[in-house]
Amino acid sequence: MKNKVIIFTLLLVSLFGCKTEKVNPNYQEDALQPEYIHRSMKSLTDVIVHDIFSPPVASRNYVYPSVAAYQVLIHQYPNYQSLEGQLDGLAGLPKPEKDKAYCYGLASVHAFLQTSKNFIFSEQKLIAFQDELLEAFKEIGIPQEVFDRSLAYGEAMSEAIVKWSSTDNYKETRSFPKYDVREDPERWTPTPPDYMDGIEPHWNTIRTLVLDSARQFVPLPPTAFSLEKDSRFYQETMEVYNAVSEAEPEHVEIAKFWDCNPFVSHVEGHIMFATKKISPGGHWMGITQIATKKANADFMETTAAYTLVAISLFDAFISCWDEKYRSNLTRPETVINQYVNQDWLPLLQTPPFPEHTSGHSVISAASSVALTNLFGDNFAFVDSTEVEYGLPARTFDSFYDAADEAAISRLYGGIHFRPAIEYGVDQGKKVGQYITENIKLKK
Amino acid sequence: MLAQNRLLLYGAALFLIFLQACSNDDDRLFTLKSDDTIPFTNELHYTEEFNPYTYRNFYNGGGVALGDINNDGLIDVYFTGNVVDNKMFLNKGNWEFEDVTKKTGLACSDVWSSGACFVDINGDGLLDLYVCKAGKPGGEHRYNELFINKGNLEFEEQSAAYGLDVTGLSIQAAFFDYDRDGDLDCYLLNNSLRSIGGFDLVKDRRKEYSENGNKFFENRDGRFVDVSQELGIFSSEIGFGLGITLSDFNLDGWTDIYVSNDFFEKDYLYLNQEGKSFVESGESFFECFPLGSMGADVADLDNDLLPDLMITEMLPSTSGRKKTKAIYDSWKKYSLAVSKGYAHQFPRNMLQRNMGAAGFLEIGRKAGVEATNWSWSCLMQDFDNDGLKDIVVANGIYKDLLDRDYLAFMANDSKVKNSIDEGGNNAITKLIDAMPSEAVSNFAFKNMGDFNFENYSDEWGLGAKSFSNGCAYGDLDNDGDLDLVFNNVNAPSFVYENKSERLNHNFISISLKGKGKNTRAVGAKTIAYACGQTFMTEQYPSRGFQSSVSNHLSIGLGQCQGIDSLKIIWPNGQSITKRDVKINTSYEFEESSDNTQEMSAVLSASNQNILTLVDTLSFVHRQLKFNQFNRERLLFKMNTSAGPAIAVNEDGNSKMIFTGGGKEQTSSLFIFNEEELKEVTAPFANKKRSEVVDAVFFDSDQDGDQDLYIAHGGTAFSPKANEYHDVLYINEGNGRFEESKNAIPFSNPIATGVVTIGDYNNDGLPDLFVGDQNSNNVYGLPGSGYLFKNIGANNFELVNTPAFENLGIITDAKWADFNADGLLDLVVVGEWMDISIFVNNEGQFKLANESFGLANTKGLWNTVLVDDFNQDGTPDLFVGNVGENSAVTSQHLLYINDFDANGSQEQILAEQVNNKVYPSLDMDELMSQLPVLKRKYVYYKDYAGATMGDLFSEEQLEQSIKLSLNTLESKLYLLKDNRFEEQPLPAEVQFSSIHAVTTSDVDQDGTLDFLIGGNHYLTKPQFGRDDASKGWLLKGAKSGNEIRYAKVFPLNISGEIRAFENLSENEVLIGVNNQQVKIYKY
Repeated sequence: MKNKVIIFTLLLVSLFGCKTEKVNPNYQEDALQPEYIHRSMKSLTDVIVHDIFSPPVASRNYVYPSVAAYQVLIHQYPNYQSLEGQLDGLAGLPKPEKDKAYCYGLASVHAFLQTSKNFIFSEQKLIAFQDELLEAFKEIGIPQEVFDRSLAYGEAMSEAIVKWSSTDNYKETRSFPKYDVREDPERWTPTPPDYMDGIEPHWNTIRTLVLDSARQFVPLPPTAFSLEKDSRFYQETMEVYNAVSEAEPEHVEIAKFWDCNPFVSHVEGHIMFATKKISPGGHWMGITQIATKKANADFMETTAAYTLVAISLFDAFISCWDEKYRSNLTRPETVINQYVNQDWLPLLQTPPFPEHTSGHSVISAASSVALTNLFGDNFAFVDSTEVEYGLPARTFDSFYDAADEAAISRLYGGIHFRPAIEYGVDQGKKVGQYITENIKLKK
Repeated sequence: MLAQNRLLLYGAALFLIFLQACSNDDDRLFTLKSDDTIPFTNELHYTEEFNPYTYRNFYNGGGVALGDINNDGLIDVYFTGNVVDNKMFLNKGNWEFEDVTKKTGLACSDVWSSGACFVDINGDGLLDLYVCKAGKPGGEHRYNELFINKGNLEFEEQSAAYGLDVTGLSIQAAFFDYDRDGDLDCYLLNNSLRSIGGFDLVKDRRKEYSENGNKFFENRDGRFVDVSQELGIFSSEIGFGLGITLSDFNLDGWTDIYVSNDFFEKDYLYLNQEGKSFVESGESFFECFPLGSMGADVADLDNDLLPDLMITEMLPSTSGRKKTKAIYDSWKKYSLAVSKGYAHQFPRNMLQRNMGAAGFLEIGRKAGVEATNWSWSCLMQDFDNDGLKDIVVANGIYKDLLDRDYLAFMANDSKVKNSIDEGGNNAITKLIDAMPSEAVSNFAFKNMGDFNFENYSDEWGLGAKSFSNGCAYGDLDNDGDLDLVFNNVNAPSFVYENKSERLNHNFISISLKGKGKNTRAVGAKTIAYACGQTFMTEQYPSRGFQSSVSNHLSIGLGQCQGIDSLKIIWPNGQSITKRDVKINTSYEFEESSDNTQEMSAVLSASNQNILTLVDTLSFVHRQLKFNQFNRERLLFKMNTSAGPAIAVNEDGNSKMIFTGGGKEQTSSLFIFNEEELKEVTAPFANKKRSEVVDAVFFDSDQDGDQDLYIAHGGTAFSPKANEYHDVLYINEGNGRFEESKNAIPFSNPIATGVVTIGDYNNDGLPDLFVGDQNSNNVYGLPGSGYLFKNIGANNFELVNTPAFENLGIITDAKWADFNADGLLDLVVVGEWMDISIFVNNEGQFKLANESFGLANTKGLWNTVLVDDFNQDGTPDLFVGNVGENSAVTSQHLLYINDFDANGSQEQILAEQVNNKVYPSLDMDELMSQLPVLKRKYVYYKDYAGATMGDLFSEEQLEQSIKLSLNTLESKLYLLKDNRFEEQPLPAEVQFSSIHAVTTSDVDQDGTLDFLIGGNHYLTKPQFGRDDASKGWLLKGAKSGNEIRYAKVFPLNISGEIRAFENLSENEVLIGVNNQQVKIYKY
């Protein structure tokens, strides 16, 4: 009998729940679950994978939403400071109204998702997730007034961030000339099976966030091209050749684990299919998630970590791409097919842009500096980012350890010469260090 | 009320459909026989182990072989099955067939059969059967099998004894006597075992022998010996052969071979070197090839005794399917392939018209046969016996392997790749389940004459939707017309009865009986002479795809009531002429040594060269490679091949020839002085960076010698670059030319398209009209014309002429007094422009198109020639357009706007279909330029239905420059009573773009003829270049009081012809882009 009454009451409450606001006194605390930002980031990653973006463009897709989330959340955490004046062109962001209550957890993820929508194509997928997330926030029991105000603030922040992003030269670069293939054997030319155009030849004209310019950290140039058997270049070529032809099983695993090619096409006769994966940047956002969870980071620390890694990735890609189209070096596959063995295939599909330096090396090194800065060296972790793409997890002793493996994986995969890796790691570390030295997250 | 109306309409529609259905069925040429007439279904189901992912040729389907196996005069039918057994049906007459598979033992169970052909391999008079196998890996009798006919419907497998037990991915074999030793040799078409993805485009790879490559076998006393390498046949790993087509392509009497190669490898044309070897000569005969070449056929389509060739490909037939079911190579990949020796390949069917000594011209687009969906086979025969051979195409693929949405979204969302790698549960079957499957109609093209074809698929009753692969023709009911059999995947085969008797067309049927071991006279040719025409057929049973046709020859004669004579050229080259051959009769002719004569070649003398090379100038034009697509990414073609510009002066005092250089090339001036030739380059050296696009000699300063105006243009510079400045060179005598100190007063340098000289104000001083071709370096923005008045002493003054503002992409202009008022008027032409006549009213110019009959003449005009062609005292026009054999149609539009407001203009090619305007660009290409659209359209299927209005706002479209077209034909107009009257021109004139024309009485019959030429190569591969011209002589001939322009003759000059300049003494100078400038005599 009692039970029935309870059920009846519950029914009544749920029936009229929408009319009679039920406020949760702990709503602020309940809304600050880092899980919300993790899920939002994951949802962005999924759409990026679905829509297919090249690695540099994907890094741009991550950075602006992260900064939007960060800029909202600092109002909940007074010991963190704004990035205005620290990131190029970022200024005059909207401020919350004084003496009004906000749920910054809600506003922050809302700003993140609203901003994200401007950088991807399959908006519907994000909207579906956003609806689900807002529903979860509603269940927390945030006062309606605060709820609405928080959404409005999140939106205002998102608008400001999108406006700021629109001056980074991205739109203009869409119409810049394509890469002109040169017939010179040492210069990059499109590679099989798709012979895609060189992607983003003008990425160095994208506004950097922290670096002075794309050219701030120019790496050492590649080894001089030569087909003489005793030349260094030829030996480096043969090192790649042998790395694949006589690959050790562990090396194959490593190469596949760090492939991170957003679009690999498979051609078997008329049948073709493509496989999509997270981009290198996406992989490091995944590692950031793993690290923050392991460190029990709170909402702010988590968001700050994502933001710092995203900024490092963004500038690292610009720095790397600047070098790629300067040195404009051919890929091992092209050299080997033309001069060594026409049937040789790299283990991984050669990505469609020049060889030097290795993008994965540069951005992994930069990300590892950012994460080490936040969580310390010798931070061991299990990287399960690629599990959903069918690859087993790998264990690392530190972020540097992971970055070094990501770098050398490109040699094992047959898509980079050694200098692109070694000089790339060096370049990435410099970029990462410069960023951590110049960005102050905490007051 | 409304509802009632709807009902009424609906009823009416139903009624109409009903009416159509019953009225048409009876008159259609072909009647589909019921499924149980010859019951065969190539049933094919994918499994986790065996499917298109694990087996490349999974949906290639089966073939059909027709032949009389029991010599009862009735053609029997053999089908190959992939997973199902092959079947042999005996023709019992009256459309009754008996399944004799078991009795004959021809089932080839448990192995993947592909092609089959009947051949009397041992010369015993009985047809044997060769069956090609292409899978599955393992299994018994995996090798190709040769079934020797023992009579009484008994066959014995003897492939090993003959040396033909090859194991590979065999597609089809063709037996013929290549060396005229009396027995049949064999070309075996194989498909490479290697997967496509692993090939880089490596030069000369086709020369590397592979065990699994194509093979040529010489029959040595009944033993077939692989002589591929000795004879020069490629047997490499990059051969993905799908079609083997035999004919005497070059009419030297010896059988040649055409091999269609799928994927990146080019096709091969092997010319038979009189039985000693073969020389692959494709590129010297064909300007281009289909990219994914499939089955092919050869036949004389215009009764000129020259065999024409059609090769099928996979280009979708509708614009919606083009956007969803096909993938196109980028300009870069295409260029890379060309540079590595893979020739010019384009994704569409090709119809190669045989021009004799001038090689072949590809005119599939003009003929309207270029896009028939995923096509496997084509057969060319006179199906309606009207005297002209028609085209039938078998097509369809059970699963759309190239569906773009499938490739982009399905094939990975389910994470298949990894499942495949690691053997997940039914991952592949699930994946293939998701692949769309759409049956399509086969195509029938009725030959309307003059290489015009009309789609008669439905009219002829061949429009049933299916997935058809191999097909064959043969007269199954001995009524004098050709019936058709199609082998279908997962549906009963089609057997069509030909009911041409209703048309009352005449025919003859011929069986040939050869001497010696070649009992069916494979390689013989018959020519029927009737009604002043020649009807030629060749005896090669292996045709189309994986199939072989009956070896009874059939000749449609239309309304011809009699045959003058019939010539039979036997495989050994001996010929015999038969008279008293009656129409509507079947004949059997037997080869004997009596009364025959040696036939060396059938090629008539009409192919002699019209032009003879007499001299070459030391100037070799060099076009700097500049990739305009990198800058203007959405363009379908580049305008970067304008040169060489050539100017000639022969005024009695001096003879000079100026040849303009490309970018980074110094121009040359050749001065002829009393038999001495002097080349001058010094004055032009400092303008080397510019590109010369036009040049003209004229006496600027009226000092009695010829000065020189050089127009600089092109696209390979930045806007308003100094390199665009035009230059006037003053003749200082003694071959000295100096740059005029007074610059031509342009406010900004323009990318000039044309300069033309005329004294428009009759002040005795020659004035200039200069047209801007590439305004602001953006293709499509209108350029203006500039009128410069000569005010003496090499000074020119810009005359403000509102009528010349923003005319368009100006390519050419000429002064002439069109209205006979004593003042020079002007004609201006250009791309997307009307032929614009500006009438000069005392220095005021006014557009007067309408009154001259030139309203609505928008075309892609490249050149205009003004002269009095008919010598009636008035100026006439010849205007060169893009022609009708291009990817562009008159329904195309070009929108120009900065659609994404990022400061650069986009040009979007669009097409009107039923009053709606759709973008013509591939979605990936458009979206990479305008990523903002990706938010509107994620899926290709949605983009396929999107109009321009769906993609862009009304405001955006209104603000766009919108260019349109009325005609693509090059035109000849004669001025009569102040109106231009269009003259009919032969179809060949429209085969390619025309960029140069001159007039002269070449044949010296008293009327002016034309030399015309062009071609445009720099077009993206999905649109395909314009290359079907080798220059033409277009003859003018008196016909009563009129002059008719009815005959053309190829000039045999390859390349992009950009200039014809008449010289005295019947000589003409020809400038071809990137080639040496040459002088010819006619």
